[in-house]
Amino acid sequence: MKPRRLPTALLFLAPNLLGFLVFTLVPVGLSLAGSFTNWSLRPAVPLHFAGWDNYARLFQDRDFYFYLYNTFYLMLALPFSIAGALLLAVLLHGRFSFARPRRAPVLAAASAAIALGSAAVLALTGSPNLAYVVGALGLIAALGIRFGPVAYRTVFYLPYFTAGAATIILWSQLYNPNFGLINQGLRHLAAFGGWHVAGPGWLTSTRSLLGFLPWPAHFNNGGFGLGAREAIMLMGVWGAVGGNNMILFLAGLANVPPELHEAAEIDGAGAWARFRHVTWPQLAPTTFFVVVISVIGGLQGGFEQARLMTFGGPAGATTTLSYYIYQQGFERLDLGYGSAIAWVLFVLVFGLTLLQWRHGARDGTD
Amino acid sequence: MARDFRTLLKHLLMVFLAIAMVLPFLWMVGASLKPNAEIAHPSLVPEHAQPVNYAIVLQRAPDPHTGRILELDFPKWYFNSFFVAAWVTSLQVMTSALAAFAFSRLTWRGRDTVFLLYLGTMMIPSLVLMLPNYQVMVRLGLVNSYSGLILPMAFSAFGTFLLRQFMIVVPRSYDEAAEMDGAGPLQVFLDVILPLTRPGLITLAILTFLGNFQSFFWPLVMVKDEYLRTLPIGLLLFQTDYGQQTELIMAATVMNIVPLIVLFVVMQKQLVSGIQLGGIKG
Amino acid sequence: MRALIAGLLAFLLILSGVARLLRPSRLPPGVTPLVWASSKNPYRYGQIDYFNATHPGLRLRLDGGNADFQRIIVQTCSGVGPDVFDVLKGSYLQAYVEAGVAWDLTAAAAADGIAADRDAWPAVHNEITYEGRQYGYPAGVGCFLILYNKNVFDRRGVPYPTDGMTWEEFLQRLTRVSGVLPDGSRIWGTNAVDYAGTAPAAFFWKAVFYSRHGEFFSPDGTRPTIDTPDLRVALQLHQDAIVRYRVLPRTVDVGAGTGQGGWGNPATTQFAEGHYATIVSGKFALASLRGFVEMQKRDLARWEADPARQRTEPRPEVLRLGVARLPHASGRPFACVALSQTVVINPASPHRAQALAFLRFLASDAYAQRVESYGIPGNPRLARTDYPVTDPELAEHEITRCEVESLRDGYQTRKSPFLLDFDVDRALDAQVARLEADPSLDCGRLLAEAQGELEAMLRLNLSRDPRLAAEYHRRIGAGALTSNP
Repeated sequence: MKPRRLPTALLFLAPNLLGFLVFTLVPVGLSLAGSFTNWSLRPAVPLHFAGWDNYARLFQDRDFYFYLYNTFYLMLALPFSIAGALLLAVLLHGRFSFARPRRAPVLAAASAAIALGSAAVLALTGSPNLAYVVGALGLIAALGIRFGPVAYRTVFYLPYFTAGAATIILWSQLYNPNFGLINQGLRHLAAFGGWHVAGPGWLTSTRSLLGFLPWPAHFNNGGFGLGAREAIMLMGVWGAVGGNNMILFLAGLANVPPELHEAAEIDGAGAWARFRHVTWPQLAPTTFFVVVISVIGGLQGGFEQARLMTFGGPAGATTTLSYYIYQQGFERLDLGYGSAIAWVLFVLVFGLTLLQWRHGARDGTD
Repeated sequence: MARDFRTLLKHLLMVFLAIAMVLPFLWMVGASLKPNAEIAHPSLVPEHAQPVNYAIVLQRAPDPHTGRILELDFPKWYFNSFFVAAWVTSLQVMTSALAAFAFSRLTWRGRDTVFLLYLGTMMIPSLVLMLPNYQVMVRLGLVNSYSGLILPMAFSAFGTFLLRQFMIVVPRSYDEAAEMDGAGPLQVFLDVILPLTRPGLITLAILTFLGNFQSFFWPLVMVKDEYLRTLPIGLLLFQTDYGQQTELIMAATVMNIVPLIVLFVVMQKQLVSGIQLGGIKG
Repeated sequence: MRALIAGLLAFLLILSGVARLLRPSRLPPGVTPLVWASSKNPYRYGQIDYFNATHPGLRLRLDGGNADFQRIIVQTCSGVGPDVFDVLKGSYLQAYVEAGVAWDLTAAAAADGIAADRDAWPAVHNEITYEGRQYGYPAGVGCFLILYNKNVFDRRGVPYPTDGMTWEEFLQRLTRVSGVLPDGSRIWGTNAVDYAGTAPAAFFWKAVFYSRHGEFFSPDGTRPTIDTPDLRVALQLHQDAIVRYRVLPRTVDVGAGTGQGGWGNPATTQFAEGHYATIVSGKFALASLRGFVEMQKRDLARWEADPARQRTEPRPEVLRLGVARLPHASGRPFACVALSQTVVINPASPHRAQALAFLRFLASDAYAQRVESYGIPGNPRLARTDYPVTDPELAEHEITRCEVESLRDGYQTRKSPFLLDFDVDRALDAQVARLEADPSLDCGRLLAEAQGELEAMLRLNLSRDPRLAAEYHRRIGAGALTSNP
């Protein structure tokens, strides 16, 4: 390929670059500079250079290490949500059409009829909840059979649509240790086996799955169990698995040339072999992108849940570094320190991304 | 016959997986029809359905607790969210595509360094950029305006990164074929690369639109006048010191989602047909 | 592709045109708009309508998005905030003043009949002034009380709480009334969670501390007094209430116990539903309890009109409220902290002079009449206990009487310019959260930690601000002979 001159490249880059400079680079610069000062939201405090004071304070801050632990802990859910998204994408990418196209509407109507019928029966015999669920499932099945994977993709994306206040309220309800559906379900299940359990504390508990390890005292470790961190992680996986990552994988899968698949089939490769040797390598740029973005997001994450749902509690168990930045910058009005934390976080993220880059980046045919 | 049976099984598997995704949503729809007192009850279905909740949110019926019509403006908030998201998405897709082209197809000095710089800025927690960004907006006089909501969101390293990944898999043979026909870089961009990266473009559009629709913190800080309120900020009005009208929040959310679902389905159709049209021939 | 781009652009331009058309029309000339950032209290609308009707040149509008602390700070720092806004806690006022978003109206107030020392309750002096300057006027004042559910006490056969009990007596009474019922549901003794801040925070220990006339700072403000016997007693009693007496739930359990829905903050709703025998609350709870009681009365009326329901369901209950003043520390006179919901003016507002008219309104009789159904007006001369009531079950006159008496004995904790109250709150809330999560921890040790943390923070504040450091050394030097080691 003929090398292009810089001017051409700049022309293409210009609109993006301009916005980048004004809305990203300048604030970035300001915040980096701010981390070396005593920048505070109190106008009465004169701004002056503070050198490495903020950073020194950071490295001696017990809370910083605790919240760093929390941040990494919550990222333990990432492999599950990425793998789940990939799995869903692969499933949805496959063939869903019937050999005889006219079978689809018939089957759709049939499943709708069966579901509605059973729903009616259930409703009349006094199980309105079950009727509702069965009816909904029948509707989904009918839509899926008639319209194909589009319907399923939309259903899986629903958690993303409802992100925000509604989801927070929803999951707070579900996680209620006394009345929530999750613990109620667990109790019913245990009752089948004859056990009587109270159910995990979820958002009210400082326990965690790694709680049996000897963490320092101020890590507020309640021991082994399912606590607030697990609750946040579960909610995260639920929301992420059918969300943007799945869409990205679907788009990546769409980019795989079908001829490669056909060639592999002709060569006698089975489904798993095809996946390993054709799909997975072709998916590499997308996978790389998803992993990088997820790690970046994970290290910066936990803010919404902490701010709206748990307020960082119980006893700081769900405070991640971004929430700590918020507390320092906007509640304590100490933006210098908040910026310093943010930049240390940046170094972490950058380092991790660089590692991934060295390991996984492919540059196409260049 | 056997194949169709397997397909049917596949469908059933998807429906089964869908249960987990959809159950909370079913609760949401049920809650939107519940009277306030029943919200705490652990059932999906209300005992005394109250569809007037939707009328209350749309300002057609008075709020039972205060006896007044709520001072909301759901349609306006919807329009604002849609308007801002539409502009942000269009600007972002276009500028990101242009920049991604520069990073993937053109070779120039410092390309990889600048790209890493772009990537680097994505890694700074946006919280900490918020206040400096706000100061910049004040200097530019864009606070409390549509431009203030749109412009900072319209330029994104994320979009550039994403489209670059899609562009680097397009074989160079296409570019070369076009160049041999005398096409300049802009034409290569418009006529060769863009159509072939359609799945990527549509994906970015979907992600950006939906992400921006739900964005909360930036409009919270930027918007002072009521006519500029977007949906997530408007929904805040249902949560006050004096109570949280969950059933109204759920009704508003359900109304919020329905057009988004329609949009999503439409865009997916584009994604699918894009695959078939832009399929890379060997 | 080009056609697509062109079409998209055209679509966006059309949308922009629509947006321009939908912009609201300007107000008629000569009318000054004012924005009040407050909470969506249902009674606000009546107050605002009256104000607008009697002040033709002004048009006040409620921005009910919960005067969110961070939002106010960010917006007012950049000049686009509301004209007047609510400050819920004295510690917030301090933070706002330090951030420069509260207008010093000491001079204007004296002439306008809203002076802190003449026209407002003395007990809330520290909530509307800071370092000797006045920054606002109360939209409502109050004290915490014990509100109790007479139905629950009657059912359990326990006598009602009264004024003048000690904490131990109160907790003993609660152990008798609380417990697990045969159907598995649980009645707690009391509920004391403070929702005025950014996160729900335990309040019981604070109520105990305030009853001992506790202070967080030394008299000259140069030292936080955290590791002290008073605070140790308060924390210990808090822990005992949870672990030994078992009448107080942990703060996280209160949040979890609700259905995350319902009118009124979660603690009040649960109390109204009968899960708590008492609640540490104030007259402001009436704003939500009134709606609840009216709903119950409607349900009762429906039941009485429906014989079929009368056969199958028991008679629906209507909440009956009782009130008592907070317990006092044994061996000490009664003390409690007075609270104020203060309205503050934004110094960057172009209409701040006109905003004073609104503060004057808050000191007027017309406003007092519109606030007394759920609060106490800031002007002590206007507090009435004989206004007409609609729901006698709510014991409004009793509540008003109790609050007015408590306000007379109320005090405000000292603030220090060297350390934000905010920080003290957060440091202590963190320790209390740890204590609630792990009752085996020792109160003394936690307080010693908090003391160390706050002293470090104070030194940090001094190192960052030379003006503050100078003042600090001046005070230390002046009080060198009298300050305690």
